[in-house]
Amino acid sequence: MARRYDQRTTIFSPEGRVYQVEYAMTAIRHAGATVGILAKDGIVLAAEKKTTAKLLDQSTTISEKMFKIDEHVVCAVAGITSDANILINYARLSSQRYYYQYQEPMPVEQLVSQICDTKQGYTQYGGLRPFGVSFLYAGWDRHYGFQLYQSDPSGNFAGWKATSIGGENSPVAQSVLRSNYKPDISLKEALTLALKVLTKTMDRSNINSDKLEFSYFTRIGDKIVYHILTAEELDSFIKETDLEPETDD
Amino acid sequence: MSIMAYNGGACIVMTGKNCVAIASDLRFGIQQQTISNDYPKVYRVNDKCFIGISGLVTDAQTLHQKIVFRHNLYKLREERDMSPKVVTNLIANMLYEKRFGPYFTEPLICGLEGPDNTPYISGMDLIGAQVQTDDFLVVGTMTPAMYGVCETLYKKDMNEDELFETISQCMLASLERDALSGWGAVVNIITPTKLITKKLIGRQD
Amino acid sequence: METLLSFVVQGGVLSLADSAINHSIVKMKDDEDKIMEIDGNKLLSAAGEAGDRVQFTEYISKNIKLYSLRNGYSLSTPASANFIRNELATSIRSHPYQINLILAGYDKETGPSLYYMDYLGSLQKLTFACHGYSSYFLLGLLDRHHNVNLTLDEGIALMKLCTKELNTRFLVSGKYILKFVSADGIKVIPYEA
Repeated sequence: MARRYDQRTTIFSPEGRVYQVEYAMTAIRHAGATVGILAKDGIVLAAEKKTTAKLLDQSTTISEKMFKIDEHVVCAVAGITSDANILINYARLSSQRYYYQYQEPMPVEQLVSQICDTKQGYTQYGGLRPFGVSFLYAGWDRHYGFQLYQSDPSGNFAGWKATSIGGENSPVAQSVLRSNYKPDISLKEALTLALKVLTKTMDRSNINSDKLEFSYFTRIGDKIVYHILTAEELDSFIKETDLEPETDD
Repeated sequence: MSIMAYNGGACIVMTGKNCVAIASDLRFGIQQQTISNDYPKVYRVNDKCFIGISGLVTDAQTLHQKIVFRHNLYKLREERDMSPKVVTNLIANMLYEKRFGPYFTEPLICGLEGPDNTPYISGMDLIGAQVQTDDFLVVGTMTPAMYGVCETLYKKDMNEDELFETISQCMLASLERDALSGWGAVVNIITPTKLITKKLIGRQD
Repeated sequence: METLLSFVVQGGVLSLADSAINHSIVKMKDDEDKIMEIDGNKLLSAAGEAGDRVQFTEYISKNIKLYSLRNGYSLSTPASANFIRNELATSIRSHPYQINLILAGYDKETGPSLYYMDYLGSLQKLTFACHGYSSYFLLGLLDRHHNVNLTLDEGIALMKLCTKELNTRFLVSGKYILKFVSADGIKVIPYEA
């Protein structure tokens, strides 16, 4: 039945679904898992790296999954990287255009909303396929403080306290977050929780700085501090976190 | 009255030994009336590059906002700051784009170029004709006076303190004699390790 | 020929504007309100070309209102000032607006602020500002008598001093409108020059 209604984004199926958008969301499951947690004093973003070929020259890249959009907003990506690059470029331009007009940093929700409006356009006009990317946005503004948003290929977005995108084991990740998240979690506890989630969804042998990327986003005084953990910092953090012994399940 | 002299103003850039200095006056006026005595014309692009934009204030503010826009995007994409040479070429390009309806501004750029922190200064006219020198450059409503006093007081390879003293004297001497600029001055010295900002109090008129 | 005068006092900003509309030698109207109230916490005083004044201030006011409806919070005073400046600077080379403006506002986090703009799009944050011929008479007076810690009553007294000077030495005389913006919003203060 789906065969007749899934070739174009510009038609609904009789059950009221737009198949191309759903297929785009399936594409994201093949990407590395990404977790975001909102703590009371900052935000943690953690991701599983998928491109780890030995011959890759990674000396000049800072990150595979995490990108700065402006001084006060960063994002983590799950999905087709080339699609993500287009949207990240658009996000950076949007943020600068707002700053140019108002001489004030763009509030995070407005930025997310603008990007999602672009994504939505590709599900309704032009006959082009949707972007195969989901984002986790972490940002701070003077209206609502620290905020964590998630967006998907349909152009929907929502604010979250903790969530995960990408990866085959997304339901597992979500349930770990649901059981362990506390409302006044600190940044340090959030880092530990993020590690716990990824440990549950990935092979234990992959829990090392080659296959993981961790970053935190916080504020010290008046300045935003965004730091991606170096390989040494990440390895020592993994070592000092007392991971649960592997269970057979 | 010329458009470039409508708001008044003055800027000087000077090189020293392993340092550069940039200074501007603080007056914002509309023809003969002074609106504000706290309007510096020097802006920081990054720790190694400062620009001074004299001329029509509305265009100077627009140009500065556009430079910030371009520089922020460059920083996000390249993951490094713009060097002063790149800033100079960017501004020249932006100004020439408006060749037949120009921004009425004359920017000066100063900074430390490359990993050796070589002192670098440059300037251009309102349509982006660049000039790079190794001693000093001046723009504003009193350029004849500024050229004279800079030529007299400038020496090669001054250290930070001598450079500060020289550029301050040049600035103050020219401001006292110009009706359209004044109300004190602000001086910035850039070295590989620190940035120094000082305010000068001259004739408050 | 129009007068705009604003200055910061303790807890807010006072804005005065003349209320006459003159065409050549005829006084067409003597109770025109040239101070637009925006979002309940900002005052935009405008003087200049007749049609431009109303068209531009309404355009700005409605855009700022749209922002607050879309986002649930209103634009701060500095952001509004920069927005207005951008509009003026963009239009100066295609369809210029011949108006001079003063934006006065009160923000909860930063208190009272005042922004002076000319018709070309130059922007300056100040503690007192004037537009029109009256600036020749009043800037000196304000240099001497104004400071940011004046109380509201002292501020009104200073306004009376200014309009007295205008009535004495400026050839155009008439009525004025006085408004005050503070943490409690916008208040129209009855004013007899």
